Amino acid sequence: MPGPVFAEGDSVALHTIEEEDLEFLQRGRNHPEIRRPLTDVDPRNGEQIREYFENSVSDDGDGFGFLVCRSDDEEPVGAVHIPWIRTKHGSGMLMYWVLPEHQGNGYVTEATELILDFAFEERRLAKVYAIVLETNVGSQRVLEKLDFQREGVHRKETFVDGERRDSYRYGLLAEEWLDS
Amino acid sequence: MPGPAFATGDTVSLHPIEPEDHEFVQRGRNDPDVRVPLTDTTIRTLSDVEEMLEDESYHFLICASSADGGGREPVGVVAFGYVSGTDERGSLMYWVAPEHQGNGYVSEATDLFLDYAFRECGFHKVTARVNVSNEASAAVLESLGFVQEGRRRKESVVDGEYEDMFTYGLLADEWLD
Repeated sequence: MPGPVFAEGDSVALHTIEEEDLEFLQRGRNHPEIRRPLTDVDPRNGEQIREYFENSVSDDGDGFGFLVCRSDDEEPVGAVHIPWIRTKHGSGMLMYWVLPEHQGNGYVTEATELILDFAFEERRLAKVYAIVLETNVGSQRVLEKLDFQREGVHRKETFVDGERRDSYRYGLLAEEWLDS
Repeated sequence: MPGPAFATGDTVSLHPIEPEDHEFVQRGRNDPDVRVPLTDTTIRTLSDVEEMLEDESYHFLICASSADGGGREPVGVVAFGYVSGTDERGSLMYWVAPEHQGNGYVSEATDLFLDYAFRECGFHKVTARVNVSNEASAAVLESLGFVQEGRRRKESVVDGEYEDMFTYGLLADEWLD
């Protein structure tokens, strides 16, 4: 049973991350189909996930993150975070994932809309940015659909499948989100 | 008197930063002409500077011949503000005290620093970010072969308003060729 709903959409809702969700989060972050597009190369054991829970989720830091659950049965399907915020200039980094068996349902897009509403309407962020592998076309489509603009390329900064790859940087300004 | 030279060019040399240099670094990092282009809004006490430089690799004091001919004096700093990807990518940072600007010290010091990072330490890439209004710094990067990789919209606050930032990158093979 996930924690309470924090923001509700049509097919998914954002819930607070609770201790009972750590096993789900750990499974996601170690899953090759999730961690590789995220270019996350750190194995995460239970202790490390717990530390993340205690240090990043349960403290009063600037970042925030949610469990994404399907609305009709509250089944957890993924997570969406803005884990780092440069508070002085008000820009935060977006990160999301949905388990492979739940992909293709538009959950990422809807969950991201919900976290952007929260970030811009309630948390006064000036900008949200995301970094996406050049090969991750699905994720680029999600960002472009949400009106993120491509602002540059990080040439050869990521190492995937034995090769150095480019990634793209996308940005969305508060006024662009709030005016749309 | 600065510590020993680690790398020497025609007019500048790079030195490890010693405790007696902290006062110079503190003065530089609090000077509006230095910290504003660096988008650094932190007020730094002498002990903040000590803490900042403690265990810090890839930080050099830039020294040049002093005007009175009495040996070498510190003029600035060239460093990686941070490194990522297990010492594979470095984020370049440099400054020269206002009274020493306009002598080409930044370009020469950065040239020495990049040789060190790419040839000796095996870095794969060096990146830098510059406010679009900081044309002098962008010119330094371009003269060293950095490629402009993007323009981050409204990414920093300059003079009370949001301003765009250019991102630059230089790959090891681009430097070594």
